[in-house]
Amino acid sequence: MIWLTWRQQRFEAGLATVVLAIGVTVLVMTRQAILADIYALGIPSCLSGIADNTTCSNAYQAFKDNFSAQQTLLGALTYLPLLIGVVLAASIGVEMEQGTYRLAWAQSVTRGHWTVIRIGLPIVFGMAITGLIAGVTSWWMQPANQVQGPLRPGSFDVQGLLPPAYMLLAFAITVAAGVLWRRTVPAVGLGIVAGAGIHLAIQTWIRPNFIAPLSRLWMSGPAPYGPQDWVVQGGAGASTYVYSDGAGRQLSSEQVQAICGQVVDAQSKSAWSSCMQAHQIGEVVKWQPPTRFWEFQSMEAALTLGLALALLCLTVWWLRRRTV
Amino acid sequence: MNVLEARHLGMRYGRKWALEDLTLDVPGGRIVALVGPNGAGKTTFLQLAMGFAEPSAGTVVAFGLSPRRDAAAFLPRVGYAAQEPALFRRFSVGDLLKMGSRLNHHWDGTMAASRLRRLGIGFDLSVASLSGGMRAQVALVLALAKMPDLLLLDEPMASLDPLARHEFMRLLMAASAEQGLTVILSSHIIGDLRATCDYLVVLTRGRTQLVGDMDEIVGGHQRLVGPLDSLDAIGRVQEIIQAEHSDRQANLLVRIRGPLLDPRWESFPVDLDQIVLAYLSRNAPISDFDTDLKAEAAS
Repeated sequence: MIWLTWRQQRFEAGLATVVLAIGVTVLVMTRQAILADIYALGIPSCLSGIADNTTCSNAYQAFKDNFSAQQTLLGALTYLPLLIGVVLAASIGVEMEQGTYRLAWAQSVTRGHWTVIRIGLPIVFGMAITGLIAGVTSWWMQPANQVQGPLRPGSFDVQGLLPPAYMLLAFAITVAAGVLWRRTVPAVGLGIVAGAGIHLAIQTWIRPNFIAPLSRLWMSGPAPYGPQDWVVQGGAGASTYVYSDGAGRQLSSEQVQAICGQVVDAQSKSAWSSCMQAHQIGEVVKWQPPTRFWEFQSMEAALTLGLALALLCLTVWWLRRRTV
Repeated sequence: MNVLEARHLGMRYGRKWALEDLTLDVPGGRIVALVGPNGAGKTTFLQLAMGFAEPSAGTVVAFGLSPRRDAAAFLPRVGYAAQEPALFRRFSVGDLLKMGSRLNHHWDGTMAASRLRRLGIGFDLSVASLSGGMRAQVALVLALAKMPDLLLLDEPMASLDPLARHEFMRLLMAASAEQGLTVILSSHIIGDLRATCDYLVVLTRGRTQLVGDMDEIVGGHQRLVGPLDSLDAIGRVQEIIQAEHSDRQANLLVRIRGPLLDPRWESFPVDLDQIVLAYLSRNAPISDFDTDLKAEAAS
């Protein structure tokens, strides 16, 4: 049965291995450049608290800008596990669509044995491949983590437990759709769309609130969060802000504008600032500290693995009870 | 000794019954033709007999074993090939044989290899490059190499041209003579079955219309043509399966139950397909499913 599964999926396995090799090579080659950039910008002295604030925030910003050149690579690494899961599961969809599973079931192996190996082996292989990718990526991300923390979307997704977890989720969606639907192309489509959709939904709405974020009313002075924190509400460069006055009442941007007007130039900015101070209005910023990395990893992994496990149970039940 | 027994066997998909209340005994050592229109439940019956799914109702048992609960003991004793045999397309013929030897405790690789060689099918040919006829042959060889006691074939010849059908039947008969196995073969093409099969089961909507020894069935039916006014007298002796009337003449297909004494009646032998068709039209309302069967019998 192991030979049969290998014979049926050796192309996909080879493909995944090639992708792994290319990925690892690229990561090993680019890590050195990132380290060099960190030293060139003088960031080590910032991290040890020697350099002054302005220099450092400029250095951090410069690093962020430089690092965003790796954005394509990070994006690829985010969706690679999903793709590996879908590709490994597609072969089972093909088997259901063409009816070749009946040929295997007519041999002397029991259904349980077939199910465990036919579905289990690609899972083990996929977990191993994505686990390796996650290991190498986590090592690759170490320098950047020290500068900007490991929690930012994009960085967080490619490290730790998440690549294998999302591989399994995409695999489970595709294999369930393939077994129930018996159509490979829609199953693969659903695996990609639903896998990426669930990932995006968790990243946007659930992950920022796994644990209640730290919160502060920011009236003036330096930002209350550090460069390694993941700001989930407000802060520099945010598109929407939430304000609150001294009494703790929440104010929208429109209400604040009605009280203190608008910032159009340097002069109006200082007037706006003193008006805000006079009314005791500040911006509510929320952030997650980098120390929560493993808690967040475990929670998100548990969530996706739970979903995947439910789908796999449905698949196995369907194979045992409903398939002829 | 019955090799396979089905009792009130049924399978339902949603609200639709694909097979309903089938009770059937299959004696050992026979080549059984399972005949019926499309939608009669032949495929579903064979799939339940293979244990591919849990029946919605009733039981099926082969060699006293449940195909589902006793799968580990049952599967080595049964071979299966389906219509349009679904073989792994990316495999070579040699890969398929390797799969068989790895997935079965009893596997006669030598026999399989020599049969394929005789058929002129090379091991390095890819499955995708084989013709429909060759694929059916390969599927049959794979099923036979398991050395089964029972072979279930679901419309094995549906996609074959007459020559390939003949070859397939020859292979099947040779193997059954050598290995002494029981074969259940479903088909909606009746023509070839008379020479190959020695037991007949006619199935419509999950009900058996006719079950028995092939020679007894063919010998036990006649076409009777005689005057319409003595139809009742004939009907008291013979079992009328199908009757057609003109003004004064009756044309009957009957199962012979007693001597034909009235000299005004003439008797003629009938073909297997006429008998099958008579039973199908007697018991089932004519539907779309039957039309291709009738076209087949008429040609």
